[in-house]
Formats: sequence, C-alpha cells, structure tokens
Amino acid sequence: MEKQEMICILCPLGCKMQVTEKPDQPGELTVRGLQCKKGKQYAYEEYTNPTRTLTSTVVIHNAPRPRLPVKTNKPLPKGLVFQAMEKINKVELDGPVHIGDVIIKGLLGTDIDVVATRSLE
Amino acid sequence: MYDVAIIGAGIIGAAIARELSKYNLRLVLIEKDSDVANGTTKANSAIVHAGFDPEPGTLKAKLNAEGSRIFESLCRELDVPFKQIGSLVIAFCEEEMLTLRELYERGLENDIPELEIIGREKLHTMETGLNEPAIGALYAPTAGITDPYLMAIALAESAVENGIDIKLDSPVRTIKKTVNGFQISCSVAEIETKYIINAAGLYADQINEMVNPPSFTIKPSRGEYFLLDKETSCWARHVLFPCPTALGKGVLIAPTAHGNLIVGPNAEAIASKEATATTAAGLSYVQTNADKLKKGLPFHKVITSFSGLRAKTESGDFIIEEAKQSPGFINVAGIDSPGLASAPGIAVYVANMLQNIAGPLEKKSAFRPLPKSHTPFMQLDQKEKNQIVKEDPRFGRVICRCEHITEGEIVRAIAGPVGARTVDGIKKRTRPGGGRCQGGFCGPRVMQIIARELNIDMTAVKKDNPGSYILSGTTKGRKVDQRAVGAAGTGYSEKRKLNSETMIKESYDLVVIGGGPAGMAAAVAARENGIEDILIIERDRELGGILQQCIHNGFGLHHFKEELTGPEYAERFIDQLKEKEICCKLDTMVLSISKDRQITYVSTSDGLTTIQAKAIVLAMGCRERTRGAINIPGTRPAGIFSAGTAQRFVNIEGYIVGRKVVVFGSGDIGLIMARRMVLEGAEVIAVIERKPYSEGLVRNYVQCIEDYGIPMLLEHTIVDIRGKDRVEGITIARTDQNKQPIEGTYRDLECDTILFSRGLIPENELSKSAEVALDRSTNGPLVNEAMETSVDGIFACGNVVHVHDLVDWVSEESFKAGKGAAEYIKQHAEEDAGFIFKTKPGNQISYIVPHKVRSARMGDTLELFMRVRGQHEKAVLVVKAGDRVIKSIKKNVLTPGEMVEIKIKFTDLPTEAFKELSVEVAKEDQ
Repeated sequence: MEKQEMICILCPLGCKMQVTEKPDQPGELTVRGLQCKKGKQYAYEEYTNPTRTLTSTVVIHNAPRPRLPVKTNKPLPKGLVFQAMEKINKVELDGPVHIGDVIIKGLLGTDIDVVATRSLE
Repeated sequence: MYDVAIIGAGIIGAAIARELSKYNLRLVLIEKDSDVANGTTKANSAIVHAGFDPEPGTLKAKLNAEGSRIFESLCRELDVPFKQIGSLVIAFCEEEMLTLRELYERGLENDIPELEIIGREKLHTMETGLNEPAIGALYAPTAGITDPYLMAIALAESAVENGIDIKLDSPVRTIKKTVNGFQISCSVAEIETKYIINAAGLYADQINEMVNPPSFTIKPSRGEYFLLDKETSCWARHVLFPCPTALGKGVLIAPTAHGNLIVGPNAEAIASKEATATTAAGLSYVQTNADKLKKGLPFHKVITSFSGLRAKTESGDFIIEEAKQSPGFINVAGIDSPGLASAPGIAVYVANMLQNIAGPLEKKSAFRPLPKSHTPFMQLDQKEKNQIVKEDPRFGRVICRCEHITEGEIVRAIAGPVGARTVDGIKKRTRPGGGRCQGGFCGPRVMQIIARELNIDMTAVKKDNPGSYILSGTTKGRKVDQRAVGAAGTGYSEKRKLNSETMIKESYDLVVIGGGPAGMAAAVAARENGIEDILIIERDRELGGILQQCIHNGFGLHHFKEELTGPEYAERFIDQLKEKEICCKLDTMVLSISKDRQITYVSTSDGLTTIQAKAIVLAMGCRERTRGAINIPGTRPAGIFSAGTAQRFVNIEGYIVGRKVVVFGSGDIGLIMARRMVLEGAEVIAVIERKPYSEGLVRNYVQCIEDYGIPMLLEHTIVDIRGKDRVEGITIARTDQNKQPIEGTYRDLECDTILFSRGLIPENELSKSAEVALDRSTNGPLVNEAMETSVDGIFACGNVVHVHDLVDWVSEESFKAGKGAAEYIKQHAEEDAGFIFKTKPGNQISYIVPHKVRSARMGDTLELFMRVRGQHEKAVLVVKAGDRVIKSIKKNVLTPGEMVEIKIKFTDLPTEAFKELSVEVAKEDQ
C-alpha cells in the first residue's frame, strides 16, 4: 500500500503524519509523526474511509429566503462530494420547510439523507 | 438642436450647467461615466481654499476669490454641507515665516478677507497637538470644507430641475463642425449644438483636439489620501497645511464635512489618465509628511485610502477661453486646485463669456430651487424624524449601520433628478459604504434596494461603470426570486417574528442589544434567573445573527454535545426564546445608549423612541477588518469583498461573487469561504497568508484547503490590486519576518475576486456612547466575572467583548452576562462582593477576559478566556495570584488562533486578599 501524508485535525498541533499499511498485516497501519495516541484512530479512519459532512444550499420557492441551507445527516465518503453537489444543485422545492426535513432521501444510493438545517415558513 | 452642450459632469460641468440653466437655453450635459462627479470631483481634498495661494492676476486668483465668496450661500441654497473652519499654513522656521509673509501679501492682492499671521502662542491655542517647533501660521478664517460630490450632484440636479438634459454613459467619440455649430457623436446618441463647453477634466485636451489643433496638454498629477474613522476627527480643528514648496501645497490634515479626518495628498506626475491606484510609496510619503505637522496621527484608524488625478497644464493657470479656430467652442481646462473653491466663480465667468460670444442671454422668468431637502435623517430633530417615519416608514429602517443611513434616504437618492443607479452612486449621495465597515454589512441590502427601485436584476447592479459588475451569477444556476428577498426587508415572513413586540413600552427590566448567539443566550439565562420583562432589539430582519449565514458544520460540540451547522445552532436558541415568550423587536436599530441606561432606537413601526432599562446586555457582535483598514494599495474596482459579505451573498442571497478567487488571510471564514466557492463552481487560485502558519483551525485547513487542493501561500502578501472596473489581478510578494514584502519576489496572479479574511473587530460604537471603558487589546469592554462593564448595570458578552473562535464559548459567556444582569436587577449586587482582584496578561498573553473579579461572586470556579501571542509548543501556562504560583498547565501547543480557557477553582486561590491574578507562557522545562 502507498504511503499517505496527512495532518491530524484533533488539536491545534496539527501533527503531520505518514501513514502506511503494514506489508505483513493487511489492515494494520503504521503511523509516524504523531505526538499523541488519539491521533491514531483519526489516521485509521482518514486512511481507510475518509468522510466529510457536506453542507450547501438548495433552491426554494414560496419561502422568505431564496435558498435553504442543507447538510448530509451523516458524513459522506469524501470521494462522493462533487457528485453529491450535482444532486443538491438540481433540487428545487417549495416552502414551508421545517428544520430536519429530508430534502434528498438516500443520497447517491447511500443511506445518507440531505436534510434542511433551518426552518423557512 | 441644443444651444449649448457641456461635456463633462464633474463639479465644473455641473456648476456651468446650473448657471446656464438660469437662462432660456436648450442645454445638454454629457458625461462619459455612469454618474456625475465621477472623476477628479470624486477624489480630492474637499477643501474650499480661501484664495491667498494663486499668483495675483491669474484666473485662478480671480476665480478662487470669487468662488470662495459665494460658496457658502450656494451650499445653503443647495443644501450641501459647508463648514467654514478656517485654514492654517504652519511654519516651523524663520524661513517658512518669510514664505507665510509672502502668502499673506499675495492674499491681500487677491482680495482675500480676514487673513492674519499668528504667532506661536495663538497657534498652539487655536490648534492643539501640533508638533512643538511650530512657530507661527497664516490663518485664513474663510477657508472651509465641503462635500464635492454632493455639491456636483446638487448642481446637476438643480440644472435638471430647470430643464437641462443629461446624458450619462456617453463618451464623446467625435465632434464635427457644422453650419450651425457642432455635431457631437456619443456612443449612444448624435447631438447637434450651437456651442460647446469643454469641461472634460483630464480629457479636456482630447476633446479640444477633436475640433482644434492642440493648444494645451493635460498632465495628470496623482494625489493619494487616507480617510480616517470619525473617532479621529478631533485630530484637526482647522485645515492644516505645511508651508508650500515648489512641489505644491503639501500634505494637509483636515476634518471632512462628514466628520472624518482626511490626510493627504502627495503629488506625482503620471502618464495615464486612469491611474487612480494607490501605491505603497505614495501612502507612506503621505504618512511621513503628515507626521511633520502632527506626530502620532492614529493611522490604525484608517478606514480607506484612495487617490485622485488633478488636471494640470503647463501654464499652471486655468484655461478658460474660446478656441481660436472654433468660434463657439469654449475650453474650460486645467482646473486643478483650487478648482473646487473656484467652481461657482468659473460658472459665472463662463456664462459671461458665452454672453459675449452669443449675445445677451435671456433669463428665465422663474428659476426653480431644488424642491426637496437632502437633509440626512440623522440630522433631523426628534419631531421631524418621527414625522418623516410616519409619512414613509422606510425612514425608520437603518440600512447602513455605521453612518446610520435609512432606506428612505437611499430610495430618495435613487429617485432624485439625477438619481443614483449604482452602489457608488448611492454612496456618493447618502454615504452607505462610506463608513468604517466600508459596505461590508449594508452592501447586499443597498444592492437589493437599487434592484427593486430600478426594477433590474441584482446581477445587473453595478458598483460604478458598466464593467464593474459585483455578482457574477446565481448559485445553482437558478434565478433568485426577488420576492423571497423581500427587497430590503419589507414583507418579511411574520411567522419568524413570533413574540415580536409591537407596542411601545417605556421601560423594561432588561434590554438585550443584538439577537445573535450572544444576545439570545443572555436573554435565555436572564429568564431562567427570574427576569420576566425582557426585550431583545435586533437590527436584522431575523434572529440568529451571523450564524444564519454560517451554513457549515462544526458548531455546538461543547454546548449541545453534537455537531450542528450555524442555522441549526441559531434555531435551537430561537426555539427557546419562543418557548419562553421573550419579546424581540426585529429590523430595529439602536442609535445610542446613555450611561443611565436609556436606549434610543429607530424602527419602521416605532419611529424614533427612547426607552429605559434597569439593566442592559450589549451583544452587538463584531465586524470584519476591511481592505481599506489594512491599507493594501492598488485600484478600487468591484470584486473586493470581505469574506463574510461574500458568505452572505452566496449562502443567504444565492449569488456567486466571482469566478477566479483569491482569499487574503487564512482566518476560519476565509478558509470556509474558499471551500464554499469551489463547491459552487468557482476556482480558488490561492489563499494568501502573511504569517508562516495558517491562522484558522487545523480542521478547517485540512477540510477546506487540503481536501480541494487549494494552494496556500504562507509568508506572502498582496502588494497591488489591479483592474479599473472589476478586479483583473493582483501582485503578491513573499514577506519577511516583519510581514513586509521582500523586494524581488513580486509576481502577478490573475483573478476577478479577492476575499479579505483579515480578522474581526468588536463593534463598540454603542458602548462608547454609554461611556463604557474598553480594553485596548480586545477593543471590547472591560468586564468583571459577571460580564458587567465599567458602567453600572450595563453588561456585555460575545464577540462585542472579544472575538471568539467557537460559538459554544459565546453562549457560555453570555449565560454569565444574562445571569449577572438578572442578579443586578434583583439587586443582589448590593450583597458582599468580597475582595476585588484584576487579571493581568503576562508574558506572551495578549488579553484575559474577565478583567476584574469580585472574589465572593466568582462561585466555585472562575473561567478565564485568553489568547496568546505567537505560536508556542511544549509550553506551560503559569497562573499566579500576586507572586504566588497557584497553577501550572502544560500545553502541547498554543496558537493565537485558538482561544485558551483556564478554569480556576475557588479553593485554588489564596484565602487572603490579593490584587492581581496573572497568566503567562513559560517553557515546559522551566
């Protein structure tokens, strides 16, 4: 497996880590450059399945604002961000909307929903 | 067929148009730009010179004297500000005293009244704070200050009221002689006229040469200026000049007609007639020379810098004459200083010249004065204010919070005879965007009003000339429904106004100023501590403050133990306010607070109202540091935004602010906006940071910058901004240890947009009105452990006190303020306070909040919030009570970007009284 450079985001120190998969133990990682233990879990997640909560807006009509803020209700695999934006950009809906309302169910075939992050009524 | 075509609608063209509109003539005023007063008139010292300076016998001498004699009455007639504050030319040595003597003699010859040479003692009494060696001055009491663009606009409007035509956006392409006179080809029209008056300013030579052989050349001379915050106007009581030299009148210091301080100009001969950029060298020259008059001018209070071009000619005198080869073609050229003071004199002179050429002109039987008063809302008295709000509620809605400009005034400026059509047009007429936030808050709302009043799309609203677009499109590629925006606030959803107070009540127990996260939390806490009678006053149309535009996640981890977005965090508090039935007034602007807790506010429904509070919580938040305040040289085109303004446009209003973006400053808002712009389809060329490290949270660096492969240029700065109408590019350079650009490392980047993310400043103008004492490092109020300020019963919390990086800490701090205010109202304040100690920022700590603690009130634990200076690894925070170390806290890393919280238990403190609790940064091994 390839070596990956990453910065730990858990504290202001921002350790620069080098992460490699152990050649003899698949799934086990070697993490260098860390100054604490907590970072290892982050490195593991970031190496195997980096995810991000995506926030954006969608077009809304008949509401006191022209755009409704939304987010994914769970972190999304990082690689899907731009595809997800394409879906979000196509949404057009009518008010009223309540905070938490599901705007896109099962985004890109995942179990992740896009939900409203404010009420517009 | 016109009788007279006047080319150029600066102050000279406008003054001539107005003078000629008194006669029965068909007149047209032709302007190449989108607005009148857009060239030299827009950017000069705004001084009405007394007239001692010009060489006796010249046109300058004659017309300056005449102009300055009639200036005041003209200003009164046109309702334009004019303050005859007098000028002082200051001498620092005997040789300069001789120059003053010469000027004095010249002034007598020019027939300038009331001139006086004053000695050292009188000078230092009249004008305090001058550098000590100043030994005397030439005092000219008739000199004054005015607003040149208001003057030009009023002149043009008065002319239009009296029947002249005005053609904007009409650059003259060619002029041909015809049998009856001339034919002028503009880009948009063909104009036939008998006579031409060439008042084209910098371009007067080009216009002249369209019909005549060259007879003069206009050589632009650039002058750069600083404009300082209104707080600094006390730095000059008069117009202060150094002794003139061969180079000109020198760098002056003067108050402006609107209460700011202006400092400048330098004088630099320059080839281009469009070169209105500021330069590092020019501004530094201005600063150094101003220092020679008064040391220590508060240049950290600069709100903007700008430059203007003067139209100089070789002869040095005004050229006002009929072209020899073209009867009926009058040149009015080379009108540099004292052009403004001379304008009224020039207009009369030209009218007489025209009579000599065309024969006697017939005066109109009735000359119409300007019909409506332009008096700013804030200058009306209380009765007039209430009257005008009653007639038109839009005068009760403050759009520009720095200059207190109402929607009514903006609408009036658009509806005027020469109405504003652009953002700069509004700024010239009524000043929103001319204040300390430089349009950061009001820009979007001003644009909405323009779009609504002119019935155009928001994306069609320009900063100035046609190329100066502000928005490059909409998000999601879908149109924005203007009805949803409710223009500048009308028709806003009533449901969001739940609990909105509609009655005017004269007094409240607690008034909270600001309905953002701080204000909402303070109100909730006060209610939970038994206060029933609470009012929140919010200037925006909804609660939540800046959180509503922070649509990203990362809020609430501490307070709600879950990760929320900004609007979600806000809505949780809004729901609590609803549930607790706490009253609020939205769309309501507090104008001032008195020491004894009287609050004066204005709104569309209540007009101007004063209420009494038993306690007040200040929760006004902060504003962004602007490009002007950090003095980045270059031009001033559209496409320069503070990051927060861009965030509002993108996330709330649904507009894209640009396609090729550079972010300057690596604060969190900048990083977050870099990602937002990429996700909305823009290209982010770079994030530029002067320091060797990113200022924002590590998480934001990784998830906003690294994730999207955005280059971050550390130890770089912007040294120049280019582009006339819209940003076209910047020049960047590496910085040295002092964050100064390094020669030889300059390179150009192409971009159409710059977002400034260079820090936040607590907004304490209201606190100052209540005489609340401020901390110089935070720019926020000094507070005690209950968040009470130096003024009895006035509390403060959130970003108005110090800028937080997490809203969770804002809420926590605001609960303290709300509780403190509740206890004050319930008069627990009179109970024993124990002994009082101050907190003291020690080595490498820039500030600590609170500043003062009453030992008996701190409860079980005292929370201290602070920021460090510089970055420290493997450090220890040492807490001392007096000389005694009571606590040492190891920290792997400390950075200015992350606020530090220290909890001190009551039991950690010495039992005996002590005076100071200090915190300092030490090395771990010590």
